[in-house]
Amino acid sequence: MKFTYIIIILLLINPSLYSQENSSNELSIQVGLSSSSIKDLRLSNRKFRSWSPKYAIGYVKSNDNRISSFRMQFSKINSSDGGLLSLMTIRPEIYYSYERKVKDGIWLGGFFDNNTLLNFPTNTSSVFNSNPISYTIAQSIGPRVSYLKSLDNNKINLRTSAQVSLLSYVVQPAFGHPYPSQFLEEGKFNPTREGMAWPLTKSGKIATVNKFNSFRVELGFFYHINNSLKIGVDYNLNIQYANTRGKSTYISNHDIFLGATYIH
Amino acid sequence: MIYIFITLAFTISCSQNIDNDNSPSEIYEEFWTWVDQNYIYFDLKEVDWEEVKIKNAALINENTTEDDLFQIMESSLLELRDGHNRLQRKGQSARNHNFKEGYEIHFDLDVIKQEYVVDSLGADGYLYWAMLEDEVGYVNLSDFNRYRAFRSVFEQMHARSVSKLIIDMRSNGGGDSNAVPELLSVLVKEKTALGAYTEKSGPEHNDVTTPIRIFSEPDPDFYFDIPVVVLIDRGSYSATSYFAAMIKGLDNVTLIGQVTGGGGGGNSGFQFSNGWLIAVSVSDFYDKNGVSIEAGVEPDIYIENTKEDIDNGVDKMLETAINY
Repeated sequence: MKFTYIIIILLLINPSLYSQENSSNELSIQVGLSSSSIKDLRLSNRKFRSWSPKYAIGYVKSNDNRISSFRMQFSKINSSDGGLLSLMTIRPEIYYSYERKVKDGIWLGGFFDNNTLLNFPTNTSSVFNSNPISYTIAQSIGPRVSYLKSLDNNKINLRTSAQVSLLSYVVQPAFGHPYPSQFLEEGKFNPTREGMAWPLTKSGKIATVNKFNSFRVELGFFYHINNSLKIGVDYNLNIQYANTRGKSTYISNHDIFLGATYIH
Repeated sequence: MIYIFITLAFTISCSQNIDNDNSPSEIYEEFWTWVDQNYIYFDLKEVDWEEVKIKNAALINENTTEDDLFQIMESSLLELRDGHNRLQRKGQSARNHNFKEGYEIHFDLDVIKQEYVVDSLGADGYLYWAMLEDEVGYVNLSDFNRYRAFRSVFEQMHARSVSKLIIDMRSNGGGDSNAVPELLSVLVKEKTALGAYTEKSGPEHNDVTTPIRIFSEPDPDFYFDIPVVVLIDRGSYSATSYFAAMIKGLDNVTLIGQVTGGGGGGNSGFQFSNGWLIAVSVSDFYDKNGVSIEAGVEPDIYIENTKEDIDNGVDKMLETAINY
């Protein structure tokens, strides 16, 4: 994992990739609303729907032929089925993508992401005392395609992107209690649940699309106020399904972001 | 291509509907299947779960009300004879299996305080400790949730050079057993296996993890080298059964009383599509001999009080522990 992040950082700061003219760096901050739909078969056979605030920061480095972007998103979702169970969902997401222009407006590349889904039953029932969390932690790679269009002498930018995961490393709990499977080995298991971090990291499984799939579509509209500032609205659709241990988790998000981007 | 992706994504997104309009038969099937895939004790208890389904599903028809269905599911769950299993709907909890049925359980801490205690030393949460006659130390834990002072009680009793320490776990219905191995570190001289843990690893009845042994490491600063007697009864359940199984067989330790209530399973909760909640045992704990504690932990010396004993201010079980 550390190695992967080092590569990402090196790619981002590598000046040789962006030495051509018209290169730019963009830093954006976005605030938005997310409509989520969650079904976690470790906890419930019902789907939980909710609106929640969502926050994102992004950094894009581009020139005429290449775009690399780094984006972090965070949301905390409180949802209820109106009955006995409520869920609190914590969802940090980190994306890195790299694309090259293949022809006018069309960009093709790949992405790497780290996607965490933590579901906590928050009702007062003691039914969930022994399984107070359900987690899905995935790192994925896959192809990404974008269509970029500029209008009105580059005052307006339109962007459409789609990406789908092909190969993932997914950490989900073992079948019974929410212990990582590596933790359930002699010499490692500690009933006080201490020392779970490393077994948790190691207990993941390599998964392809039949066990884990994540699909993401982004639509963006941006208006340049001046040479160093643009504002815009982003719509993202993200669907994720994971089932590496016999109990699946599913989440879909429709996100609308408003944001400002500083360009230099 | 992008627009094909978007259309596909919306189609997938919208095709997942909330399933809360299921018929009673479908809800029962969901209940039965979830228990079938998650409950750990079918083999140990020799329960034919298929038979339970045949018997109970036959009671469901188009006129079955929610109340009827709840009772049918409650009856099905009671067939598993497991006090950890639970079923809840809004405003109602199903009856739990009564693991005390058929046992005489008579215990009253006030009788001990009035008739046996010579010096009350302290109380903290669910913990009470005192001195009895003949320099016998006494500690009572009535719940396994607030017992942080337990270790300091060992230290106090050791400092007073008690002749023995009686740990009274009678009618302690359990709580959090996670800290028990650490607690017992003052009673072991070397790394000691206390038992083993296993849990469900898949949907088949025999899909369980290889039992993992749980150890206690000796406390480097303190060893309690004084005889310990643990009092247990049928009301000692769940985490208290874990405690009894873990402490049984350690040097200087004797268990006196009745077989505990068992409750070796740790449960896991779930919500059905109609909103009702369930929890069943998905893990088990084995004693040092590899025997599940679900049916209870046997004492080394069996004795029980009668109602008359307690009414007359006599605790025969405690007296046996004092005189042992």
